[in-house]
Amino acid sequence: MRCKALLALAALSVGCNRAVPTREAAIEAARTLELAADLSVELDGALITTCPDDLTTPEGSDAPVVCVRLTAFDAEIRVVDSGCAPRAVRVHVQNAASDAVVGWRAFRAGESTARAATRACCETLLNPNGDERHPDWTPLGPEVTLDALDARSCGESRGLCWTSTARPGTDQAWLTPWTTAAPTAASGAACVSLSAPQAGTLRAAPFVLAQRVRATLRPVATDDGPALDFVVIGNTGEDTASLERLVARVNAEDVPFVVLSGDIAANGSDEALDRARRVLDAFEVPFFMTLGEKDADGADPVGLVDRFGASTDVLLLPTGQGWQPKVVLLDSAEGGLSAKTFAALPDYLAPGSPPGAAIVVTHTPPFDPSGLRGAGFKRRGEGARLLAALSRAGVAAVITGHLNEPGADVQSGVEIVHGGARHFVRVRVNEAGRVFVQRSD
Amino acid sequence: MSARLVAGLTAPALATASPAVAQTQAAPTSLDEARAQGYAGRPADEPAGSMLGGLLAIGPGFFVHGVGHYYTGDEATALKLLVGELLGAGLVVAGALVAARPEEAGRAGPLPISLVQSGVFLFLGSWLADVVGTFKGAEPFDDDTSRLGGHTLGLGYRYVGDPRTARRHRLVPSLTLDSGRVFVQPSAEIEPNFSERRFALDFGGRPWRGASGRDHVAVGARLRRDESAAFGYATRAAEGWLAWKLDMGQLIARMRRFSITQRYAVGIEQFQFGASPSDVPAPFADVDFTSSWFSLASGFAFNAARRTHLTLEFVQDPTVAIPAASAQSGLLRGAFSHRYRDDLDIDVEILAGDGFSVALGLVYAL
Repeated sequence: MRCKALLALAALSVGCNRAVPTREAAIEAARTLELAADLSVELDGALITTCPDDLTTPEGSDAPVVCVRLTAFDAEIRVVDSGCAPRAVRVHVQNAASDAVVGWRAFRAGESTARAATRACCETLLNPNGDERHPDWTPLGPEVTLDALDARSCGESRGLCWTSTARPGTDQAWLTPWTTAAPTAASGAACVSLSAPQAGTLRAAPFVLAQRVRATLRPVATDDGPALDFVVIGNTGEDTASLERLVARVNAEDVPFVVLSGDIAANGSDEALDRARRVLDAFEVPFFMTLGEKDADGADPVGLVDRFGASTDVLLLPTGQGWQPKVVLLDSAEGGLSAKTFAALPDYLAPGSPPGAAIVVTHTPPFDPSGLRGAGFKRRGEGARLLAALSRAGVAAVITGHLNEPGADVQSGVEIVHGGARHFVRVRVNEAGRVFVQRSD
Repeated sequence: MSARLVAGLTAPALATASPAVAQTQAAPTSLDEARAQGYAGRPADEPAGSMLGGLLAIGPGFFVHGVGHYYTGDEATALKLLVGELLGAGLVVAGALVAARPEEAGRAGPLPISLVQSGVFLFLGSWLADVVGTFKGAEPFDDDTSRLGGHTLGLGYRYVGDPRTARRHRLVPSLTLDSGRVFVQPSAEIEPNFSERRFALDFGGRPWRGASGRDHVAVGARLRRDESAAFGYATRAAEGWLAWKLDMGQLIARMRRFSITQRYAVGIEQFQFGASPSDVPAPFADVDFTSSWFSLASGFAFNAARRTHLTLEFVQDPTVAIPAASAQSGLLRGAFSHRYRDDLDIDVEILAGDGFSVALGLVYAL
């Protein structure tokens, strides 16, 4: 339902304005997918999304297809199989960096008592094969990478594709090209279902095939030391032509990713959002987006998440050099942050390990630099709450959209950059934590 | 509708019959007998209400204001209402045009807000006046029982239904010293364990008051201090405001004792941030950030019952307890004040936006 601002109708539509919590629920729901009663997919740093129209699956294959959209540079796709028979899942990954590394490792999602005791005692010395992400799982082998580009090809469609096959009955798993035939029940060893008392807790634990997609961003050498560059664009609204020009300009720049600050659609209708998404499909680098009030206006929350990913998120930027800046996306499409985001703010802004500067991108500025206009957060107390948190956390810069006029000011020691209409803002963050922001037309 | 109004719809009122005469004479059984006893009929300029006229005012009248009054023969008022509709629509269009100009976006904030809100208020007001006036006829609303003058002590409680805060309860004490011309009102809003508190001092005067005493123009200032030990910040603010209240009966006869209200305010606020979320800076600590704001509230006020005064407002104010319904919208405020005794009012206020707030209070006349 569109909640347009007409006096009493808008003010009475209190119940209408639950978009942010519902978007958050949609994000959480998109982190898991149940394919069967004993087969599911869990995601870290990625969300379930609609498969592209041009994605073709091998004929005669009944293996389920899972399409995911990466929301991080280190994402994990876990196929959790509590069954026994050999099964395959075809995985399509969108929004990956061109040089992303794909690796996989099989686990039993549990550990024996002896292993748990060993780990508690002497983690590193006596458990060298443990996985840092899942220390309480039992790895069934080392991590294997899927290096060959043609092994990850989707054919005519963009993205990364492969087939993940698991044989829990024999603790075997592997990743193969997209067109690999799926196994049948008769194609593997006999499947013996063992109950926990006979086989022990570990044998009955779910079989997990963890597939990891990682990219390391390569800093450039500058006079101020190594630095990472990226671009923030947004505030095009119904001006699709401007959005296309900005996308082309991003592709011409040598940046590893782009962030969108919102308001890239005329409104939240399916037509407008699809139109904007088609333009964004031309990006040659990954994109991450927070939402503006136009994008969210009357939009279906599930559709927004499906098209654009998580509007509130923490994007870690791995450099592989002992420093790791981050970009924090805060969804302020409704003129403020949600209760959940406010509660999680200390975690979002906490110093990272490895250390690195934090840059916040949010559509609505906490306070309008032209105060009387009132285009900041709709309640000043919330703006103060956010600004206080940003100031205490030492956030290096905040980049906002929403306002037509570009500008920059320092509010309580935090540099706030207002991109303005149809903005193209280049951001550079260096190893020392300094952030340089340059807006250009 | 009241019994008097229902009677007015079905038969002319006994406008000039004396109760004393009615007690000693037999009730007339014909119009001639009634005239002989002094009945003069309903005055021509005080028409009865009309059900069909009211329905016309609701439906087609939303698009052409004044249809209801025109139907009941009050063409002059119908024309006024139509002019009000056109003027309101024009203000809304003007405000939208001003707001849409990108080069004005940095310098025209209060102007489009004022134009659009005033325009919508005028548009809805003329429509409501047509509907209410047509249904009700010439009978005025009850006398305005809102307090204007006198000294009072208020004790209140507010519940804030905002998921962004776990601190939902507020105690709201206030003191009003009001001579009718000038007033001072210190007040506070304090969360029970003191983690959030607001202290305010309003003062001002009423340079103009109408003959009824209710119509007025007031100007004033508010000094405010907010402290949050929950999120580690404090503010100090100064606000200047202008408010007015006008009985619509001066423009539209059938809307006597139905008032329109408006309040404009401009403020400046200094923010102080603590080193931790639980650290509240002292009142005279260094200021970290300064910002200004504009607020506007437009509404209607009338007595819904003999001793109950009702105010309905649309509020665009970024400093109140809950945020607006959306970034482009505002809040609805409904306030009841029931005169329980001459020295005691029971006040209820409801704010609806992105969340809600309910305030209950007792106001004692000193």
